[in-house]
Amino acid sequence: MPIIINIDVMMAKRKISLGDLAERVDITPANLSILKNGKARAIRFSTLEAICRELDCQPGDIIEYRPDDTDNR
Amino acid sequence: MPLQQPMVRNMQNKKSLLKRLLVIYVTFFIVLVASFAHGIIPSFTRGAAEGVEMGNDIAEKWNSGIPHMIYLLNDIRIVAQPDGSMPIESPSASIKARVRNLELLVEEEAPGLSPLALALRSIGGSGWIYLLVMLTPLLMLAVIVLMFVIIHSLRRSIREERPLDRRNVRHLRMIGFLTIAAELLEDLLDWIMNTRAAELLAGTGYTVDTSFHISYTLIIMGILILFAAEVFAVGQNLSEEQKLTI
Repeated sequence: MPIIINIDVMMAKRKISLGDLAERVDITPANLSILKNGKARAIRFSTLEAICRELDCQPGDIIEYRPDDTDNR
Repeated sequence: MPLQQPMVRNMQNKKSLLKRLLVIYVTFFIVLVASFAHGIIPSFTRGAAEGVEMGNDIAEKWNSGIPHMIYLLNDIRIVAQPDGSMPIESPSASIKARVRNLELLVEEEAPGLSPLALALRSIGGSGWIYLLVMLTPLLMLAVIVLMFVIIHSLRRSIREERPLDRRNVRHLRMIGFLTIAAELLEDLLDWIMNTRAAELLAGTGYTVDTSFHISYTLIIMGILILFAAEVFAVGQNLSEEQKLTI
């Protein structure tokens, strides 16, 4: 999938652990882990909003579009 | 307190779902027992008795030194018979009988065949037909077992709160395909036996219907089961999608 989740980069920058962020965003650490590992199929606006608020960043800082080779053809 | 209401409702839904599945489970079991008692066991007993009788005849001919192939052709559809309809004497009414179905017991000389080969030709006159005839009940048995498995697995999935399990979809698909396969196999056997009977009865005045008859009821049922499996698969995808929406 050409959508890359860079939440781990932002978490490292803000020095926040997965458990802490999950607690502040009010989702389970398991679900945040799914998101962090790029296994999620979709993200709710409310979750995105909460993550951006807690990490003090923009959606573009945690979600990136990187086209596949197949998309370039 | 009002927050607990959806949870209570969820529990009640789960309970009633489990109860409904239990009713289906028990009904399926009762129907199965009834069909065994009224259909399968009597026909199996009759078939076994006829088989023993045929086996004795084959053995007798074998022992006399002239091996004979004795085989059965059943459910032969007759469209015309030599004397038209047959009158039956009755004190109360005038009755005419027409033959619509025949069961033929054919005997042919078969020098050089072993007793096992003769036994394997006792249905339809060919070993392949014998194997196919044996395969049909096995397919139906597989469907019955899968039905039990799927109802049991559905009950377990509901208890574990994941009714849209991938295994259930797989089992449903298998039931659908097996139902269609068993029906087509039976129709094919029927056609082979009728064609063979038509060859044997040529010139006797009996006309056999050699068209390929398909019983659409079971085929439609199989397609409906496959459709249900696809609905399950769509539900399973939706549930997975929802699970992976953060």
